[in-house]
Amino acid sequence: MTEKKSGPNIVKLVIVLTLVSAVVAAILGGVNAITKDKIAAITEQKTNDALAEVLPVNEGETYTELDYTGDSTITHVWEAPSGHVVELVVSGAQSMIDLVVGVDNDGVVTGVSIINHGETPGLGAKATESSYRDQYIGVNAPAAVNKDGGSIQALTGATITSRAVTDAVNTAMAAVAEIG
Amino acid sequence: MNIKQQFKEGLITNNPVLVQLVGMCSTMAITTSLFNGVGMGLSVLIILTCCNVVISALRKIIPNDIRLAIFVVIIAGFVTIVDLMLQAFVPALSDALGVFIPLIVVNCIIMARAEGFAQKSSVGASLIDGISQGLGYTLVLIAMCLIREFLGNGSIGGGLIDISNGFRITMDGTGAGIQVFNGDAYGSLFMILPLGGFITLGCLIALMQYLLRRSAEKKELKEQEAAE
Repeated sequence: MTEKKSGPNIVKLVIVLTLVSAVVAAILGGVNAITKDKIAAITEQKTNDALAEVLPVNEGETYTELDYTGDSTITHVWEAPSGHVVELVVSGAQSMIDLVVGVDNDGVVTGVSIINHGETPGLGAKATESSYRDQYIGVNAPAAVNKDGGSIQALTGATITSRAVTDAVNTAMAAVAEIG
Repeated sequence: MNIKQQFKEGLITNNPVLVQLVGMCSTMAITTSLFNGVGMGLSVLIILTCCNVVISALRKIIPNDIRLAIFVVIIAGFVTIVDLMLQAFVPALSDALGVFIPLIVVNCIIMARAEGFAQKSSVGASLIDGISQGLGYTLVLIAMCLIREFLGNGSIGGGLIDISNGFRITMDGTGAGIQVFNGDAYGSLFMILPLGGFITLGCLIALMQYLLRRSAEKKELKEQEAAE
């Protein structure tokens, strides 16, 4: 008994910490239940918007998902009457970049859109700006950034991010060429 | 402690970044454009205030031995709730601040204020403390952003101001800012890289310490004169 009194009451500590954690977990569970469906719907909407941005389709036309396993960075491939859209997850400077690339039936890039990334704000994050992404529109042969002798103007202070996006575009073009 | 005194402490004499030297990691990491600074500052301000209030309200039932563990659970819980709520109900804001929200869990300003203030103060005082310390943090971020963005990138107000179609405040972080010169051309790009963050923060802390010491010396001199 005397031994117990000398230190903190461990049983009480365990109970309090468990209770606090349980209450926080319950609240988080509740918040998750309320927000889960909305977040899923918003994510789906974002993907659809990105598809429509890189390869617009006429009203009534839809994107059909294809089964493609040729490259490990490619997560989805959709087919539309005017071309293909490829979704890739590639590693950038600090994070995985999730982006979609539209390629028309002539093998010309119609647009690039970044769905998700965690690149440095103010540097690599500028890859999401249209002034950067629009450089890829019209590209029909493997592209390279200016530091590697290509025509793509790399982002200031973010060459690694620029290379990652450029490589992703090249991978997408190669995959679409392979699908035909 | 009165409200005026608390604000003076949060903004100047006990500024979280420049005097307490907490939250320096996020300060250096994100101060590359004005939009980032304002976004991160306001996010911390809101979460710091909420955590301060809850921890202060629970201060009598939190056992001293495990207070840090409980603070971490409460802070991480709050950040996750705010993150999920923003994603579901204000997606535009979540897109803009998405990168910063998870960073707040590891921002030691919140832990420092919970440990140093909220756990031994009333709920009202903790609320004011959250707001004043949050504002102090935000002001330092804005100062860092203005200096680094201007010297490193040659622009002012990146992300927050757009002048391509007349003057406009962009809330989604897409504005290009006011381009004064091309930072890349003068080799000053390092100011926007982590190196520039260390240099800018070091200079700001030195300046703050100098000003605080000078005002303390002046005060002492006055007291001496009064005594004579």
